[in-house]
Amino acid sequence: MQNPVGYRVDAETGNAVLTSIWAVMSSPTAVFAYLHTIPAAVLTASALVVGISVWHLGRRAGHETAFFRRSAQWGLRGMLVASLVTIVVGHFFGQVMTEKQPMKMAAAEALYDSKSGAGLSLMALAPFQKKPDRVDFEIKIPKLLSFMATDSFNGRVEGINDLQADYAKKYAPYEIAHGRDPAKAEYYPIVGLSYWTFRLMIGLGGFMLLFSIAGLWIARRGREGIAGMAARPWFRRLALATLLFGFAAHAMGWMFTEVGRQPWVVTGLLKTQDAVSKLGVSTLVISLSVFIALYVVITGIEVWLFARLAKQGPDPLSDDTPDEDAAAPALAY
Amino acid sequence: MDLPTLWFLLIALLWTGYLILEGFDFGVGMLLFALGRRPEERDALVRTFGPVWDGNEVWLLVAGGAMFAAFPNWYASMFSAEYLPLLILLVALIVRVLAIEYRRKHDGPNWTTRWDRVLFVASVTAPLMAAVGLANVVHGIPMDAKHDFTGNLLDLLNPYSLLGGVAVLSLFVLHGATFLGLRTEGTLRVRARSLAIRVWPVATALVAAFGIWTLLGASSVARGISVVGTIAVVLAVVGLVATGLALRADREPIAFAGTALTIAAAVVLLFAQLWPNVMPSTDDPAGTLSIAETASHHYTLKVMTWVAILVTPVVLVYQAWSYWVFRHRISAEGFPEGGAGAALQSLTHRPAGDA
Repeated sequence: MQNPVGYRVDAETGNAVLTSIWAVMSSPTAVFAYLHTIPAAVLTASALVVGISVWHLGRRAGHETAFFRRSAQWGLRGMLVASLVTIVVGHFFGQVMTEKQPMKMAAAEALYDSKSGAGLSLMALAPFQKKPDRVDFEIKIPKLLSFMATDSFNGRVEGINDLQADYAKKYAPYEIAHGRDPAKAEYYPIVGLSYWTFRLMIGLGGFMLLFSIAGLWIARRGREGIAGMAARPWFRRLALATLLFGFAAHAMGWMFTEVGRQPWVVTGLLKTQDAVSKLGVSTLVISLSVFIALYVVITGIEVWLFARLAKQGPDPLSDDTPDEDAAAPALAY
Repeated sequence: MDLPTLWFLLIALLWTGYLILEGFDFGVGMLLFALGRRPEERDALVRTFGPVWDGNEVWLLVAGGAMFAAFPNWYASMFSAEYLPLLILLVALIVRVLAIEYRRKHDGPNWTTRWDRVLFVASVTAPLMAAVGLANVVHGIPMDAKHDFTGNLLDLLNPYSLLGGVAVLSLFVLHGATFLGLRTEGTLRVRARSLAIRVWPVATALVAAFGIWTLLGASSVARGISVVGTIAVVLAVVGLVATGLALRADREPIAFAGTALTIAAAVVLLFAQLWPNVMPSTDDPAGTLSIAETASHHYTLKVMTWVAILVTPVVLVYQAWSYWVFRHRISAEGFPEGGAGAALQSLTHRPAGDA
């Protein structure tokens, strides 16, 4: 839906019809999204292992130290590899999106006018509007955005205003077909939300990479290795924060990709406002409230159970081998 | 046979598989407190379906997915019109998963009992909503010529679909009890049998009433009594009679086969009455959706058919394997005579020729 392929629009019904399953399965957007999300999940899991291990190592000296030293070590290795893969794939994924969904990436960079040799914005503050009309504060690295997007420091990157003008022409028939004034159509997402979710995702991911490098260095060089460092409360807290960063970076990435494609639900084919079913507001309010309530409760229970399990630490190793009294195969429910 | 017809039949088959398989774990959930008076007994009851219930739910996912892919307009109209019942179904299924997964994750006072109550409520709610939903598809739904829902929630809670819901609940209670006859040992096995004998007349009366109503014209599209439908009603009754006789003769496998046959026959009946439509309209007749109109294009169906041919055998093999591995009877009192060690050994060192 971000980059529809392998279809044709049936002239009679106006419905999209599948023409090639291979085109759908091998769509670059789908392949990159998969290759980006899976290592990100491994990264999150590794950070969870590291956070809990470091917390245990620092809590009580001598408490399962060997166990948690190893688990922290392996968690850090996992973080290093997974964050590198996530970042490298993410870079190429970004280039694919620059080509297929230029508006999404222009909004991610808050780049208003097309530019050669565009600088990479590290952070910016602007009024709280869908598309702010001025920037109050910004830090930029010259030419880096052009290099990231096009592999050339002087490459041309398209901006929101120019894309908006192109799309206004291109999709005028679509607006007219839906009984709307083409002059009023907006083809960009909420710029600030795209910009900041994109930056937080990358920032948190980058921090996790640095944390794993530092952690592995400490484990090798530091006195008493990672356990010595874990004795310091600030490091323990940092490790626990890193545990949360994995989940946060995931959430930011999802928000970016779904906010960034607006106003389209199927890029270039169907706008979100035209895809809404005729259920009525009250029905949707009911279902959304039910889901929010349900998931808040589930999250509460889940986090509580997780924390309890994490505090418990590992089960003591036992030498018992299954004997004649061993249970028949049955899962514990 | 053309591909749309094939997929209509396959969707019926997927619903059959789902309702037979998840039917018994819904049934056990409904019987949780009636049969499991002590916490250990409820543990044993949940263990009877513990390793297989989530595999059973895959059948529902595939049934819904196949409707979406093969008959997109059927899926769209059905899921929009029945939005609230299906929302309740979804919430019940989510909460039921939590109850099964969380019930032993903590030893606090009342933790397990509370989740078991949740499991009971969800096990009643989910099949009730699924049955009401399916019965309404056969009964017909108020739709305009553009297949948009024109009714409200009360149109979905009509006497026919409510009878369908109650009939399915009673049938699943019986199905769950016959399943427990195969899967438990000791007190639970005895209790399950005597409960099945008591439930049998109720289930038989309700299922027969629902079947005859379906056959004689629950659908808003006027039609004669179909041959396939008539055979299905006969088979449903045969299944129930077999169960009733087998329960008295203490023939547990036949009792379970009987309730499974009845569920299969009920799905066949519903889909036979639906044919050649997929969802009749009770408002504007032009709103009725047929197989031919709603089917996806030939290419999509061809891809689906190939995927089904390649993947289904694998799924069937590993699901059958999981039933085989966890085939031993379970009791609240520990393991039966001969010891579980022997059972475990028979799994790994099975002598040749031993089935």
